[in-house]
Amino acid sequence: MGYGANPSQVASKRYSWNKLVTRPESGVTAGLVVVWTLFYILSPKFLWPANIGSICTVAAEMGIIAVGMAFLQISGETDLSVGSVYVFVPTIMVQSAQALHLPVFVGFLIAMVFAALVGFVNGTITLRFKLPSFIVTLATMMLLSGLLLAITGGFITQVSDENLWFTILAKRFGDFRISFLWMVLIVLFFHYKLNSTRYGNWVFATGGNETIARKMGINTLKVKMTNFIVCSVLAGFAGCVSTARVYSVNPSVGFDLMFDAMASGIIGGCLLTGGRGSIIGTLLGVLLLSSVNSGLILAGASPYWYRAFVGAIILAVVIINLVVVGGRRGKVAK
Amino acid sequence: MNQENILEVRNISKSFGAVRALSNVSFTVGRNEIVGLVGDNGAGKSTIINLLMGVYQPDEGEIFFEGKRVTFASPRDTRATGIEPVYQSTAVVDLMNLWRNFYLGREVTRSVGPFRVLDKAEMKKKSIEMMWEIGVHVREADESVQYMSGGERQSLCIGRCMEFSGKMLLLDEPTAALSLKETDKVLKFAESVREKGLSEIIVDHNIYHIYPIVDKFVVMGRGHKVTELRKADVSAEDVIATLMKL
Repeated sequence: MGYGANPSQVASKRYSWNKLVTRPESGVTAGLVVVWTLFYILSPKFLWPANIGSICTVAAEMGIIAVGMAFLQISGETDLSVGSVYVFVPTIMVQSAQALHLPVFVGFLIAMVFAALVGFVNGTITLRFKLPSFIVTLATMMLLSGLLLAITGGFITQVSDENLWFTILAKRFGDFRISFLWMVLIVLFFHYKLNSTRYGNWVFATGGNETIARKMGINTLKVKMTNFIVCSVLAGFAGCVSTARVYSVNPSVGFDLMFDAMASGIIGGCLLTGGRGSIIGTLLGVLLLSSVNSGLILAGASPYWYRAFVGAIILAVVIINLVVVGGRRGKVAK
Repeated sequence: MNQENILEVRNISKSFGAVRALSNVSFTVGRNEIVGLVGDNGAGKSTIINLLMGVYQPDEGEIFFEGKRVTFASPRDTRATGIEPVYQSTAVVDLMNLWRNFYLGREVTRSVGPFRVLDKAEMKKKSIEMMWEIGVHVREADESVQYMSGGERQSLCIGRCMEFSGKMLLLDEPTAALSLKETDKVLKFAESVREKGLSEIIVDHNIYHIYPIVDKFVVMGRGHKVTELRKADVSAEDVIATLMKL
């Protein structure tokens, strides 16, 4: 008869507290609060609308990449080529529109097809030859960025005239840009996909244990392939958003952004090995990094400190996740 | 083919490189019949199960299900046909919680406007109910399965199998690594299948475990079918003696 008993109030309270801190987003939320408080104390300008606006603008582009990367990472693969795609795709958008005298929007569509193709190639090589995606995408990253530098001669591609599509992508309204809204929509969509649809369940299972996922009848290759394409397309889209903001493409940026996007996911609770992660957590990770970026500048520190800070934050959050969260959940076997 | 049989395996062979794992094996499973697949290690039991589960495809031979020729290209095909497996090593994803594991690949959805959204409340409720029915008293469907015991995890797989039992069950050493009590529960479940009008193939090393529940034994040895024994004609000791002679 014992098992029918209701758990006491205390136990259930304790349980929900445990549930809260074991969420993948808990570490990054704590980090965000600490960082915001710290920078606010160092410089009250940190919370001025102008600064929040600039944080959001940086976060929008980084976030769109990071969401795609997190989605792919949860299914157990990774994509290092996002940084190259981020610059290659908008170059195609601008150059094809200029060369063929087409509206920029048509150039954008051509470029998106190319982005999907890169994801498809990454996925095909990884899955067909059963190679680690880390190596495959390291190669495509270099391939694409080298190709782009060769094609452009390393020069910045300029866009001279205003156009409607760029307005839709990144128009400025006061301190904020419309690109942040795009990012929020993308975050909400993929958060919904991951947590509330059958596909999301398959993504978690594929990354958590591919063999078992396949035994339970899930087409894990299709899941991974889809996510490779999603990741590339979002990286390309982020590049186009950035181009719409600054009206140019610099072929030599992108590498840093790839690392920031990856770091955001890790900080936001995504396991590098897959099976666990959160889109909202990734967004918080992105906000954390972009806050650190602007906070350091406002605090009068050299922006060179940014990378060192990010390194420290990654370590801190990962250790918090492992010790605090892992400790409460008990030792993880295997 | 005889309509009394739900499954017929006809002359199947399978090699892995130079190793001939199965040669020319045929047997049938009747409607509402429980077949015990027995044999020593390396006899080919797992190969048969894996062929039926769609993990491998046979080199030669045919499989008929409900009179129709079928090919199981993947586990998805097998589950879609109405054959529900319980694997030897528990098929749960450690990083996922109870209900997500329970309904993996068979998620329940409901319509919200144009969207098909996971019906989490329903899945949580049902998965907990099934666990209680088997005798595992979990409180939270959100609990991660990595903190469950081996028995609880296997119970999850059994519960899943009960929930989705289509027409036939494949139990591949379902009691391996279970405690006595848990083994008892699993065997009770394996037997209850008959009352539900389903068929079953069960693999187990312990003849005494499955003797009470099966209708017939298919005895395997070194990739061949050695013999078929109807339970009515033999004692558990006879089956063991047959196995020991191989």
